Amino acid sequence: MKERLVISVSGKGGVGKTTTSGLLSRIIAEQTQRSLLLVDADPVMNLPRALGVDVPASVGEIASQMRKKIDDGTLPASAAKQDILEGEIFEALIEGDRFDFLAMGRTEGEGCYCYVNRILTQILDTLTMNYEITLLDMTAGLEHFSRRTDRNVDILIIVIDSSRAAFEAALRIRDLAKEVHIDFKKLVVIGNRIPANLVDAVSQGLEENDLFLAGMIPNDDEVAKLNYMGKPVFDLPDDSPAFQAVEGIAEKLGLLSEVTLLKLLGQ
Amino acid sequence: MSFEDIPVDVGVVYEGERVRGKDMYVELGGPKMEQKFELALAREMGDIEDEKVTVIGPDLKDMEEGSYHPFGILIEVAGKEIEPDLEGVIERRIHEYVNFVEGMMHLNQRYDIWIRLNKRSFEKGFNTFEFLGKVLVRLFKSEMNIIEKIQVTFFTDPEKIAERYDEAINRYNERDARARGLSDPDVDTFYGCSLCQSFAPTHICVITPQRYANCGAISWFDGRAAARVDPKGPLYAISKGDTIDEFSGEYTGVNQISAEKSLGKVTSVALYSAFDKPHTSCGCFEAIAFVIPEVDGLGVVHRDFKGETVNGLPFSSMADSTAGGRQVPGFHGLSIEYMRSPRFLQVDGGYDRVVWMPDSVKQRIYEFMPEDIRDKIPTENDVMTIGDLKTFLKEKNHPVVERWVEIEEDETALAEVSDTGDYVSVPGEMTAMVGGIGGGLEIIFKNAKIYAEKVIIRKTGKGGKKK
Repeated sequence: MKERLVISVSGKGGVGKTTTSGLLSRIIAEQTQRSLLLVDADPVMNLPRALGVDVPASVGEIASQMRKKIDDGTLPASAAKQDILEGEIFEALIEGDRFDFLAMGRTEGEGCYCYVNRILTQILDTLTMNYEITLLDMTAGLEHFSRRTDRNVDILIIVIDSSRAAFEAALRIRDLAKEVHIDFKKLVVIGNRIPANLVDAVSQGLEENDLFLAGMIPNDDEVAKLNYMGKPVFDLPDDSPAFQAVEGIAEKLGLLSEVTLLKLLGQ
Repeated sequence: MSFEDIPVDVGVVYEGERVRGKDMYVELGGPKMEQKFELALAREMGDIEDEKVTVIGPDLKDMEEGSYHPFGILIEVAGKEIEPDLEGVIERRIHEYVNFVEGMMHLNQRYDIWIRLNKRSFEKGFNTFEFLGKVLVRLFKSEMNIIEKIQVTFFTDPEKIAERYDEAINRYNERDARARGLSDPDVDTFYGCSLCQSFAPTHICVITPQRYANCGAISWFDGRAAARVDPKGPLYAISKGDTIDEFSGEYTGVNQISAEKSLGKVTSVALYSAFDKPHTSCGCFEAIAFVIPEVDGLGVVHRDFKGETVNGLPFSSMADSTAGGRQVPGFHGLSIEYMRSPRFLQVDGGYDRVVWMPDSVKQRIYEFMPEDIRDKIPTENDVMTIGDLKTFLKEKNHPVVERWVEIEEDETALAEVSDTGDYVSVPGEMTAMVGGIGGGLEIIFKNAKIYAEKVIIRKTGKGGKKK
C-alpha cells in the first residue's frame, strides 16, 4: 500500500487544539484532493462539534460494550472478537463528502483491556492505511496515542497559548514523543491567541528550546462567536484572520503544494 | 493458480483495503440491510455440481451505482474428509478470500456480512458475481485440499434470501451450541498468549476450549483466528502433545511451551488446579481463587469487588500475592468465563470446594453452577468473617465440611511427623508485629505449621519493594 501522511495536533487543554485541527482539516479537505481521515483521540470529544458531525458511537464505547459482552458471556460462542470489532469500528466511521471521521472516546468500566486494545490497534492501523492523510486531534499526553497505534506521526503539531503551562506542556510533549519512540519527520509549534506584546517573547522562548514556530493564529472574534453558538468551523468566512493564518501555516507545512505534499507522502 | 480471466487483481495485498463510502459502487448486506448471510454447508459428493456458480436475483451489472442490496452467499462443499464440523472454518475463509479481490471489502460474518465493491473495479469490468464465484472456487480448492467439489450461489433477491435466512440462523445456533460443548480432549491444538509478558515475563496463558484466558477476553476461537492471521504474534498455536493426565489437564505440549517461554521457571502445569502445579497468573486476571485455610476451601473475588473479602483482605492485596507469572498454590488468577466451564478447578473439587464469592459474580455464573451446591455458597450478603463462614457452611452442609474430618485426621498424622523436627506445630494463636513498616500491621498464625530453611525479615530501603 502507498505511503501515508499522519498529522497529529497536541497541546495543553484549552489552548485551541480543536479549533486548530478543525480549521486545518477544513483547509486540507477543501484545497487538496486527498482522502482524509480525522480521528478525535481526545476523550473529551470536542472535534465533532467543531466539524458539525454527529457521532453515533465512539471506539471507546464499542470497546466497553465488547468488554461488557465478554463479562456477561453473551457473544456468539465460536465467533472471533477481532472479526466482530472490525465491523463495529467500520460502522462507527462517519463517512462524509469531504472527510471521514472517527471518534476514539473513552473506555468505561474496569477489567482488562490488553486484548481488546491490541485488536483495536490492528484495526485502526489497517483503517488509517486507507487514507492518504490522517489527522489526529490528541490529548495533551501521548500515551493515548502510543497505546492506540503503532504508526508514526509525520508531522507533530503542538498548539500553545501565551501561558507558561502551555509552553511547558509543549516541551514535555516533545520529550515524551521521543521517549515513546514516535518518530516524527517534523515537529512544529503553533501559537494561538497570543497577545501582540508577547509575540516576540514567545518566539524567542521557542527558538531557545529548538522548537520551530509554524505560525500564529490571532484572536478572532468570529471564531469565538462560532464556538459560542456551537457552529462548525466550516461556517467561518475565508477572509477571517484565523482562517487566513491557518491557511498560511498549512502552506508552510507543505500541505498545499502538490510537489511538497507528494514529498510528504513519500512519493 | 491463475486469475487472468478476472478483470481485477486478486491477492493477499488487498486484504486491508477498505472501500470508502465515497468510492463505493455497491454495498451488499451491511447495516442498512435487515437480512443477509453467508453460509458454508457440507454436502454429499453426488449433490454438488463442481465449480458451478449461480446468481439468484439481480447481478452486479443490473445494480445502480451507489445502491444498497440484501445479500447471501452459500458455499456448498463435498469431499471424503468434509464433515459438518468443518463448516465454520470453511465459512470463515469467505471473509479472507473476498478481501483478496482488488476493490472488494468484506467485513463481519454470518448474518452480519458487509461487502462493498468500489467504482474502479466495476469500471475495470468486474460486473458480475460470476467472477467472484470463480475466485472463491479456485482459492478454496487450492488452499483446502479436502474440498473435492464446490459450488457457489449468490442471492440478491430479497425473497429468496428470506427463504434461506432461517435455515442459516439455525445452522449458526447449532454451531454455537457445538462450540460451547467443545471439550479440551476434542481438540489437538491449544493457544498460548503472551500479551502480558511485559507484566509477568514467565507467564503464558494457555487457552483451551474449556479454559478461557485469565483476562476473560480471549477464547479458544479468538486464539485460533489470531494465530492464523499472525502466527508469530503474541497469540500462537500450542500443539497439545501427549496427554499426561486428562483429569488434571496436564499435556506434554503445554509443559514444553511453558518451560520454553518461562525460560525454565515453569516446567509443568495442570490446567484445572489452583493448588497442584497451577497455571500461572499474569496481572490482568479477572478474578482470584484464594485459599481459606480455616475451612480448606477456596474463595473467589473479582477485580470490581471493592473492599474486603471474607478473609479480611481486598482483591488488590491478594492480587499482589497472585500476580507475576509464578505458580502460587492457593492463589490463582482466573476468568469469570472459566467459572462457567465444566472443568473449573476440577482437580480441587470444582464448586464443591468454593466457599465464598461476591454476589455479583454469583449472579453472573449462577446458571452454570451445579444445582445442588450453588445455594450453599455464601456471598458478602451472608457472611463476612471466617467464624460466620464456618457456621454457614456447616448449617448448609456444604460438601467442603466433609473435608474437615479428613483434615483433622491429617493433623494427627502430621503431629506425629512433627516429632522428627521438620515441622513446628504452633498451637493456638501467635501474633507477630513486624517492625519498620510503621505499625498497624499484624500477622496472625492460627494453628500454623511452618517449615522454612531460612526466614529473612529485613527493613526495606527507601523506594524499595517490600519483601
